Amino acid sequence: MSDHSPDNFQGYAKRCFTIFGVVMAITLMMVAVHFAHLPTALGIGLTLVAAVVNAALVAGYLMHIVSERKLTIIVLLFTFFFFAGLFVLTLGAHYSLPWGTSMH
Amino acid sequence: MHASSHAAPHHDHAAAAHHDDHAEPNFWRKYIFSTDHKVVGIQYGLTALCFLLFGFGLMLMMRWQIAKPGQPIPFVGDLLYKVLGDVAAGGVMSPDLYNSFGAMHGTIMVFLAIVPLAVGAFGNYVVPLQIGACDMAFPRLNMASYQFYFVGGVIMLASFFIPGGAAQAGWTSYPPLATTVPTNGQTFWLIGMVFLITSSLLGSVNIITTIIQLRAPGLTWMRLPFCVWAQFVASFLLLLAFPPLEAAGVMQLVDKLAGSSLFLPTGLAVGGATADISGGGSPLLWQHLFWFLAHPEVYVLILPAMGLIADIIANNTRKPLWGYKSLVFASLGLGFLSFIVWAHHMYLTGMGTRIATFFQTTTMLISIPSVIILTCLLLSLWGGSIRFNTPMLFAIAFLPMFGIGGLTGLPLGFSASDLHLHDTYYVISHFHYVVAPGTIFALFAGIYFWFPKITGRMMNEFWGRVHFVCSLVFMNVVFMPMFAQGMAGMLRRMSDGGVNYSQLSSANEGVQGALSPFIIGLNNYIVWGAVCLGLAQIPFIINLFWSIKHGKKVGDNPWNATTLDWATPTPPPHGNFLTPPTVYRGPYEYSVPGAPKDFSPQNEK
Amino acid sequence: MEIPYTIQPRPDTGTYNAKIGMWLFLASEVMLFGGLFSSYILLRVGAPADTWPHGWLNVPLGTINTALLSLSAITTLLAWVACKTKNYGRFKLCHGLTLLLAVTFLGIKAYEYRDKFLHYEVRLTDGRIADGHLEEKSKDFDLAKKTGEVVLHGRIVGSQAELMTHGKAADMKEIKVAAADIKRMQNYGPWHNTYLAIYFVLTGLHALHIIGGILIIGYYWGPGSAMWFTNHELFTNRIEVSGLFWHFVDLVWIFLFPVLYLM
Repeated sequence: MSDHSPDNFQGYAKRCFTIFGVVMAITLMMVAVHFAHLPTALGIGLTLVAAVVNAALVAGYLMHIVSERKLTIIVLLFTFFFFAGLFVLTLGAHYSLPWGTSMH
Repeated sequence: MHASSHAAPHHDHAAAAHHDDHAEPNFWRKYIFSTDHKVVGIQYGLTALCFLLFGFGLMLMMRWQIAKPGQPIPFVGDLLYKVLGDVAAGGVMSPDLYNSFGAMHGTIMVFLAIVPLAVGAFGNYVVPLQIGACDMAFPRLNMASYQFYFVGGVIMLASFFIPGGAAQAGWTSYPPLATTVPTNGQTFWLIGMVFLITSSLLGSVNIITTIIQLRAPGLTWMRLPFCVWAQFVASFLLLLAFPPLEAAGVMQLVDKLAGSSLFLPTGLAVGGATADISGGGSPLLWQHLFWFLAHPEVYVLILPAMGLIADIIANNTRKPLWGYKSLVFASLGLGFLSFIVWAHHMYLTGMGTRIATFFQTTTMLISIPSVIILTCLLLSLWGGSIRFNTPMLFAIAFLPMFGIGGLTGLPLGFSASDLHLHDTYYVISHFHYVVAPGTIFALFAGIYFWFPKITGRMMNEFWGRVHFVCSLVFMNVVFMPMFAQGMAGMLRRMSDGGVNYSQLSSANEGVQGALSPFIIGLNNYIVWGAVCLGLAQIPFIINLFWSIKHGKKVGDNPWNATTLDWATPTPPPHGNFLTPPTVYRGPYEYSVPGAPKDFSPQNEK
Repeated sequence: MEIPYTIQPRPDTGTYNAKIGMWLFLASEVMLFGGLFSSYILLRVGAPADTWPHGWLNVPLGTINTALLSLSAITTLLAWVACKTKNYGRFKLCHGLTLLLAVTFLGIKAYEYRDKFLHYEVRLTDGRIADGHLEEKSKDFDLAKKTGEVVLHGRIVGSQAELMTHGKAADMKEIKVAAADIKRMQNYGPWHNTYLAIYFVLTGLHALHIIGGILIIGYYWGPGSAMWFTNHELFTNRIEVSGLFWHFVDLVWIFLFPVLYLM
């Protein structure tokens, strides 16, 4: 593949387990937030941020996106833009009502 | 018949290309279970053309019912009754059957005919040749993609024959109707769609990877024929836009089979009684997910067509395309924007003005790259030394036809005018203009153009021109009146041809806006136009098959074209090129000043 | 002519064919699960007050599943490293662990699904609602004929809204309900409410992807491992690419777990 060809199993394994440790720590933090019964918006916000960080760790390090060529990263960025578009615009349409009408 | 295990002796050049290949494969491996992109392309092409004809037949029967509601369909009425039973009692198309045919006409034309022909057939056959590759990046995946398509098609066809018939809720399958129709046609439709989407996914991964990785040495991105760029962008659209529809399809299947209410709202009443469902679902959710695919899908329908037209125009004007870079960047922009315009299909769902304006804006913006592409193609004719052969006739006709289709999209894109035009025949006419005398003309042009590469023979030119003139005339006879009907307010999907909403019905005495007899009367012209359009395809079908054996024999490059696909033996052997090509110049170096010939092939030093 | 760049990377793109193919496929999978997640969001924000459940899923089990899947992502990567460092025994060990972890994940998921199908909401004729796990049905239980009785382990509440939160384990007790008192009885399948419907669709599709991954990784761990000896580089690439798929499956779970279990 590229420059990140592993030559040392032990060293690589150590780095992997470190990532695992961080991912599990963040996961347990999310569980703690759940049991703390924080106000809804705050709870959701914190949990989502944590999930995104976990995802970034897995995608970045385990899937080696950090060491991928620009091409792959660009394709993925476009994908996420469309992914975001799907969410944001659909919700936008849901919350957008004609004048004088109200939800429910 | 099993071929013996040695290469046929008279194909010396084929044998040379086979030097690393093994025994000549048997009939099944060569024609049915082949991984060769050319065989897969032809399989897609023939299957898609069959579906195109079948979908056309469905429409013919519908148009008869529209023009002459309640009258038995001539010739096929009795057959329909024998095969489908009571829905066609007396040879008359019942409203349920009309709805079925309508839903399946749309589904078959879009998903089983046009896209497989444009992307599956032309994409598979032409792209590896034009980039100088020996095959697609993943040949076995290619074979699998055709097989998924085939199975999906069989499931869709089978749905006509199950009790209750095929899906009846439009090609758009809106719930709650789609879910609550008590028959299984919709279930078959959903399962068929899962197969078709899978096929499309495998195909698009293959095409994109092939274009990225297997370009010949010297073939930089800006030296690619526009045909390849078009397939590249279309494949990206298929790759990223189909999955939300697959998700929605799975959800609708769960609604139908497991009784959930993902798309069914609380308080839904079916047949007069409150439905026994949990409720809480959202019919609009389906619409969002469906149109998230279906809008990019229409660009998948048109982009490969534009690609074919571009190559044919450059070749038959003997000059480079005007604005190659503009074409490329416009198609990239088109692809990108196509993901954020979808709710212009949903202006009447109760969205507020802010979000409607957002979608209106992006819809207006997307007309810009469309116009750029059409303008470049049009300007490419200027100063050309035009050869008016059959492919070129179709290509030239494509331009104004697509122009009409595209321009009539504008009043639909503005939410204010769409209030009047939504769900009328104006919409039907708009999109048929883009796809029927638009894309289909481009596909015909492509068939006539690439036929000599596939078979080594030309199709008959006289009958090609007959096919062209008749198709052009009758396409317009069929679709032009529909603009008037739509503007007069005639709605879509009415099995009685609009009579119930017209002045012809005594119930509408004095009702303002009731359709006039003239508007209803146009249905008669349309049905005869459709019949003649169908008859006009007969010379094409005969020509296609007859020319395989009896067409005028030609060499490897009968059109004197520059792109790599014409640098192979004819028909191209397994592996395509005798020696791996190297590319020295752009794709449309025609009439280069000082060059010995009026065309400079890409791979000649 | 051989298809180039199946093993060696193409210089200008820096990678080999299968990896590009897999990234493209994963991009489409992002859109697939994206469609489902956006459906979840729309259904949830569109739900009237007190109709969206909280705490209906077993968080400890979900956390264990998260750990199992994240660990399997690590072992998958290490299996590839073992390929690169040409250590066959380690490759077998690492991917063997991956398979074991994956199967355990599915086992726990199956247990959770079964739990839902055994959980009943029983609307009583007096307007109250009994809600809990079905312990036993009497032999003559027939809802239509109104004979027999069921025993649930759960609680009785006064309104639908109270059901939306799970209730404390300590408050659960044995409840006997006669068929004659039952107006309607339904278990917690996808038909029960939209939360469960989207839960089953999301986790079901995810589970199908896990099964797919098990089949592919299992093939290359088992019969397909012969390729280690016949074409080691191609084999390594296959392990890398299937590993990418597996990491994606883990990625989806990283979002599924908080969204369905914690929010």
